[in-house]
Amino acid sequence: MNYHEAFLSALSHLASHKLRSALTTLGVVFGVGAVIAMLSIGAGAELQAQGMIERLGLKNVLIRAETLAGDQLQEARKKSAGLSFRDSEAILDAVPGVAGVAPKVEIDPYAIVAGTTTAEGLVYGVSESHGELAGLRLSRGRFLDAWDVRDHAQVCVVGKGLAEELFGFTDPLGSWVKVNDVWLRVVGILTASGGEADSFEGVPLGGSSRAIYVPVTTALRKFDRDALESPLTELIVRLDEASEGPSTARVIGGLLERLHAGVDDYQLVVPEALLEQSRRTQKLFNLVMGCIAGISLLVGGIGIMNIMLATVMERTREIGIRRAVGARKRDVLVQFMVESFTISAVGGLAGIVMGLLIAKGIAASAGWPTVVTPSSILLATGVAITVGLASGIYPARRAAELDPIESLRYE
Amino acid sequence: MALIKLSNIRRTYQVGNTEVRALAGVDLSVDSGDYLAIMGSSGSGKSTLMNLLGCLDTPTSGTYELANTAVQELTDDQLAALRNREIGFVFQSFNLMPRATAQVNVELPLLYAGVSSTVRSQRAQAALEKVGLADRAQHRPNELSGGQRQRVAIARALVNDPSLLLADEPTGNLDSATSREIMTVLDDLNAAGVTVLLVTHEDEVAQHASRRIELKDGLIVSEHRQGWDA
Repeated sequence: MNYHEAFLSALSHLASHKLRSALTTLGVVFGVGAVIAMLSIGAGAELQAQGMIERLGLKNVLIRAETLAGDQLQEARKKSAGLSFRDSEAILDAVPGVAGVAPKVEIDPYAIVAGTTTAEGLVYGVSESHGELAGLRLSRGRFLDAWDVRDHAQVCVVGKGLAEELFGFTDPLGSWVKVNDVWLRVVGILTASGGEADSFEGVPLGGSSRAIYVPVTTALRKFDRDALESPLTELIVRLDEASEGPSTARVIGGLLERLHAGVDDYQLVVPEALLEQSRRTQKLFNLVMGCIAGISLLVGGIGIMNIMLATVMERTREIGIRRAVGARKRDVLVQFMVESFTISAVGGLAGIVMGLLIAKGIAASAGWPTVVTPSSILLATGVAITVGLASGIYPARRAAELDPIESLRYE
Repeated sequence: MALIKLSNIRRTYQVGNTEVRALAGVDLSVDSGDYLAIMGSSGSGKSTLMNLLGCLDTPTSGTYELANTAVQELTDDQLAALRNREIGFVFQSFNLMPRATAQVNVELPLLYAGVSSTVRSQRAQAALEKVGLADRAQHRPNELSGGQRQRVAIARALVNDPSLLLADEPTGNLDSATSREIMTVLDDLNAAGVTVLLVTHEDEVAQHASRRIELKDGLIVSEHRQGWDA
């Protein structure tokens, strides 16, 4: 009897016990489904993390002003003026491996109006190099340039989402938008940025589709700001290719500590370190989920073994007949191994479908991006087949070792 | 020419601490084309002899030659191949696979002989025809009468053209009319040249054989040729 025939006979036997076969496969179905869904969450999170880090810029170090209030703010300002152009110049001058520094100011917008439409959004004052450093991409028009910054020009670049909301079907380019009390002419529209999330590992990301970018000088001069507030909200420090994020960040940290007289009114963010951290979290998540999926597969395997043992008992007489008409021990072994393999293979296939559905479901309901990779399908299938074979060995051996004379008499 | 040659066959079983002697030195020779009935009461050792003849068991001592092969020296796999090639079994309780059709049941020995599926199907069909069940090929055992089931079993035993047909109480589960029917099938097969070995305790069944031996306590106690004496 060859494998092809053994497989066909296994299928027909399983088909003759539909409910039992279906219940037996369930363990493997859930196990494989869990593995695929779990890995899809992992892969999705990894992709999202990479996308976000890209938005922060892997070769960037970010310095953010801490948001302080009340007494804390009073206390801090006695020694330090907050994040300012002085810091940006000092970093550019003193820290090796820095290719550029771009300042950023956050403005609290209480009104964003275009024509009769109002909308809510975020307003940032940035330098001309910000677009490149933060990885912003234009869909139309141009980004802010050096002239805009020099001239305190009343121009702006608008995120895609906000532009659609403010202008609808009319052309935003060249139109006017009023932020607080300042009129700004739209000179550029951004493309939709990757992902809708606005923060990563607790660090807010710029480049939202709901943002308006104005020249940093305009932001500082023409918008009202609290006198005690830090002059700049953020500095993006661009490192050159040769330098390492974490080590350069340490140098910058030392410099800032002196400039700010030891006051902790800023925060240093190293995307490279964030990525590392996110990977560690992901690894832990994968490990925990992997254990759960593994247990499910183990239980599935035990279920298969249990049913196979029952099947062997139930079919003792059949085994006796087969042996009498010329089946070798090996033939009986192969027959039951193939059957157990078939159960797990069918379960594995159903599990893959289930995994795909769960991954889709998670993406739809929880809003997490999920990516089902071919390697995860391969891994899950491999594990399922291993489980099927491993749980089939013992029952199949028992079947093969049955004494034909006893088996033929078995009631 | 002797198809079967048993000399001084002994078979003992270990039951707990005691040794049970099922066969205590049996000599027997069966020619090709013979029709032999093995008789004996329960515990006489006829089942053990049947299992040995059927190559399902090996003797504790003595030699068994089947079709010029020394059976007692064979490995388990070789025994399986020998059963497949040389022996057809017919059991008291039919021993058909309940979920398989008559056709599939009859094909079973061919499956282990490595015969291709088209040839299997043809030969199974031919075997079913021989026992008069060509039109029942796609029926399952529970859709067949007792006599029909036993015919399917006989077809299965014949499908590999074995040199020996072993029938263990073939009519034990059948009424007398059906029994006669089945015995006619066996008689016809013997007349066509098949060697038939019949294990039975019914005189009426044993009458069909041309030769009969009687076992008692693991030994052959009498041997008759039909028509010579009684």
